[in-house]
Amino acid sequence: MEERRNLPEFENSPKKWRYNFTKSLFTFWKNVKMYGVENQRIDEEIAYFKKTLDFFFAEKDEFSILFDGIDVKVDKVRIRGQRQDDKYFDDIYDLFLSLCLSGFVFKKGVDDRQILGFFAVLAKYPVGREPKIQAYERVRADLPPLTHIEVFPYDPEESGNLPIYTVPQAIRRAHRKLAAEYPDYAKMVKAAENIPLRTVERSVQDLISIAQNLSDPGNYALLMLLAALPAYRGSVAGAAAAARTIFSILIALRLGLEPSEVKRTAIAAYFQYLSDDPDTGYTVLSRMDEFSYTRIEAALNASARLTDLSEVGLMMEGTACGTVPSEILKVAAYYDRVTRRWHDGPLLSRPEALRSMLKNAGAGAFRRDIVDTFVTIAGVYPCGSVLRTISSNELVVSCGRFKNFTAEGPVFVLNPDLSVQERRMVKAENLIDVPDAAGAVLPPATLIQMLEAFLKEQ
Amino acid sequence: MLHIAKKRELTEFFRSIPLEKKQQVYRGVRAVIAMLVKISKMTELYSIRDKIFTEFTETLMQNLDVIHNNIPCVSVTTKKIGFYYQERRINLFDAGERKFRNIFLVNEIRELYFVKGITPEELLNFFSVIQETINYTLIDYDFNTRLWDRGVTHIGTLSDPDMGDPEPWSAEEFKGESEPVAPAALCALTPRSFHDLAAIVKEFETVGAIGRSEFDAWRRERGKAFTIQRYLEKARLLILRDGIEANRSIIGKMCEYALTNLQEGDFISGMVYLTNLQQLRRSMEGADEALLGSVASVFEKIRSDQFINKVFEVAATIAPEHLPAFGEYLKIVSAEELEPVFLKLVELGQKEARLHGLEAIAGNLTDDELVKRLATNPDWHVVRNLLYMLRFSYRPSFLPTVREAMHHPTKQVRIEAAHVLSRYDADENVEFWHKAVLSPDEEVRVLAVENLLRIKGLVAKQILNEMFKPAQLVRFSTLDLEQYVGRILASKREEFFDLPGNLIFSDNAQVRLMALKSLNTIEDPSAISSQVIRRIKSPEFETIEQHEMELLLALLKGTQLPSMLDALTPLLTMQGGLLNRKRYAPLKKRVFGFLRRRAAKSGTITKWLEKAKKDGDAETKEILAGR
Repeated sequence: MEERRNLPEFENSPKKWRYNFTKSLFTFWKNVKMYGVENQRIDEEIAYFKKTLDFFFAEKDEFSILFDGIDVKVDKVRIRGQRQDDKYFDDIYDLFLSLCLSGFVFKKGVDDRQILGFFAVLAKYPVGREPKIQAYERVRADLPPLTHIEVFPYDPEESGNLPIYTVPQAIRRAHRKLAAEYPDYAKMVKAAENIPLRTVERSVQDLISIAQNLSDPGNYALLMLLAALPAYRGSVAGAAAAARTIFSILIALRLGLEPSEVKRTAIAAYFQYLSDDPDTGYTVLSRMDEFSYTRIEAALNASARLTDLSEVGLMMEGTACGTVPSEILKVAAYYDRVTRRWHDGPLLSRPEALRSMLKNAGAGAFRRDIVDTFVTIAGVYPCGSVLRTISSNELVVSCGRFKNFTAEGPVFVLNPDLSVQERRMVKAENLIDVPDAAGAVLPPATLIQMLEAFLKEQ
Repeated sequence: MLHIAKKRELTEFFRSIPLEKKQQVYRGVRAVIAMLVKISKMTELYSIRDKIFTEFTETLMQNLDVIHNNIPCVSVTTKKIGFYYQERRINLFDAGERKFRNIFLVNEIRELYFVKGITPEELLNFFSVIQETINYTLIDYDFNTRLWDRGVTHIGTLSDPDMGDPEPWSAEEFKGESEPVAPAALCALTPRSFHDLAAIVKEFETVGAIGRSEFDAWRRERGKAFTIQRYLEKARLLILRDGIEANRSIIGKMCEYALTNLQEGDFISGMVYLTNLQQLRRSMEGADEALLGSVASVFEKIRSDQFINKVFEVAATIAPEHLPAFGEYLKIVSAEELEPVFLKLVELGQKEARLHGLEAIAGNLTDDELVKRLATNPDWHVVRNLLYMLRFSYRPSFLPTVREAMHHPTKQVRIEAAHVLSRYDADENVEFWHKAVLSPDEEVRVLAVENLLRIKGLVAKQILNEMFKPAQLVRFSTLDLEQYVGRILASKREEFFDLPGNLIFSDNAQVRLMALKSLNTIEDPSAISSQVIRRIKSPEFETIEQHEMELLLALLKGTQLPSMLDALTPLLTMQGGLLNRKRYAPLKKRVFGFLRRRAAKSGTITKWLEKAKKDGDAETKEILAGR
């Protein structure tokens, strides 16, 4: 099967060129090792190597490949061998380790003479496993004067100690993974490829662990605001999948489900709408390599989902399969769907959506206890609600939990140009919903201002 | 679960450890990692259930305790060239080190940390995770996800996704299919009238009013088996609608999962799959056999020796809720060939699983020859388990074998045989029960009494009379007798009640007390009124101990109460001789005192006491007046 990264649509993908560069570096080095610098093969190699460099030099003056003791970073992005074809990564690790190198930086304007001189020295030494600083010193001494290539030594004891993410950063990372990769998964489903589920599992597990210790209101608000994002990297479906995952985790934890049940519910929430057709979703999730109970639950829930909403938003029958996660997902999916400008059907403001859910629960469409749990989590003005203050008629966006209609909670006060003026505590009794703002997409700059506020707090 | 902030806190703490402790801890950490390398190799050879891992757990716990006595958390860095502790290389000279380390490299793990409070269960789970990930890292899971799944909280990792430089948010991230709202348009929108708020607030008033118990009960109903059942119903619908070919992968997974669940000890799920596969087979009758081949192969495979061995291995640690499903599985596999399954069960150490299994396969036991052969097996365990199985397999043709087993040299077998014989008609086995009443085995004797009491007519009376003769009674302990008496009274056959009734005259005080206590459990002791009356009129009545007296007088109830009270009438006027006029006063006090306490509940006794006040002598009147 052809590599996805070699498909025409990835022609200008930096990711593809990072891999191309790494592979070219490897083959160039090996060929110099085998044939020396004066060989026709070398001419071909250097031409391709320069082509890969030129791709990056189009936008920047410097381009680097660095090794931190575990991974290789090309152009400051960590890349790994992902397939059988990427076995050369091990040789590159060995090259760096044995010569005690932490990386090279190529500068715009580097010529063939410098590149060949550099590779001739690299190819001179055998590769082993134990890094010795003397090896680096020998390389350094052998190198001709290079104006456009810089070389750095590797210190095995100091490497690999990157900073650890804070909780908000971890929330953001998990959300980004879930939302950004969703469209790719949908493509994989269409192409009948296997989905790398472990990344979804990991993000879901991290979110659950964070939600289990959600004592900081800032972290709660960040989670709920991320869930309220209208789209992520151009994908409404991705943002919706991440939102369903977050809502289902919060509901399931609040209902006292075991962590494993919470995880199954969240995975099912994420994949529920992966395909256009419920039966396809069921079939695809049944095809997973590791066909565990988690997949069964996800597959089953993918087969029962919201398909029909009447004009007033009342739920139709047959939208859940009767399992505990399916009833939770129904609530999470309904809230997300009616508050997001996406599908056909009713579009409600967030406070209106809660009212609709309570009404629907009364009509038997939802389990009342699950709706109550969600309302308790979201509060009467859920995060992302566009509101007005009664006293000063200011336009505000809710960014915290208002337990009831007398409680106090935080809001972002917006300027007339919709930039954020300030974050302020307001009593719920001083707020009023703007129902016509249902589905309103705020400018990206406003969203960034809001989210930044929670990341900066840490 | 440890979340990222905790991980960070622990790592920062770890980095601040005083240098002097590092050397000591380094040695401990080296020992732990060396041990883990060894364990990782063992996981490729043995199942985690093997006792070798219990031993490893103990040793590792000791090593970790030594470390944690110094610091609450140690974190080992995993690099391409080796493990590091506090920036110092952990030199290990074991060929398995690289393979073990590779788990962490492949799974993007930078640090592996051990926090104080690790439990042996966590370590075993940790070994399982090593076993699962040492050779294969599937795209569906990895070391980190498995640690989380198994609830290992005191051993954790810092992996690549937990580290790095946070990037700034960019506007590109938030672009979507819809254009952002124009500021003027949003500002121009009219809010809801605040007069509506009163009604809205009311709608939210009852939120949270429903108790959690209803949800919890519903959640219990909709457990794992329900979900799998629903999943398989959907699968069958798709297969029947679109055909086997179009759903080959689903069928494949159903088959695979049926086998995996059974092999991993999840018998409930495994049986749900098997049942659905059976139903699918039936619904698809007439379909291409080749297409249904994978389904047929499941049923072949579950009967194979290798598979059965594996199932029995996991059954040794079966959870109680899986016992019925385990039985159902055995019922299926023993339908064609029972003996191997039976012999496996005999060897199964887990008693509950063994008993459930024997009961389940009993329905498939029809072969008389097999029963005869197994009953003569030199290993008495085989015979005993066979007889236990026969409890649930009623066939008159097995009766001779059971009767034969009543004379088996091993006590446990005789007892089991008596249990089986109890399942058959007692009248047909009178002679066996007759012999059994004097069996050396207490349990057999009790069963004999029970069965004799089931015999119609009075044939058994003669046997039991023999058993209750004083000469025979001395052979039994009071506890034995108590059981016989209990069985007789529980039978509600009053024609046998005189047997325990007579025990109130026993020379043995313990036996008398036991009999009286037991007789007091019956509501109407009329059947033994003659014995009670005889006891009251006996010369010993005057000297009976207080406790025994009260137990005897407590029998004054039921339909024969007046006649029993009449037996006490002489006491109203009894007096001692000239030299001992008040001889009967203590007796009168005990008897009348007891009856006065009882009078509140019984009108007959009240009337009798009134009569006693009238007819009694002066001494009686004084006692009844409470003086």
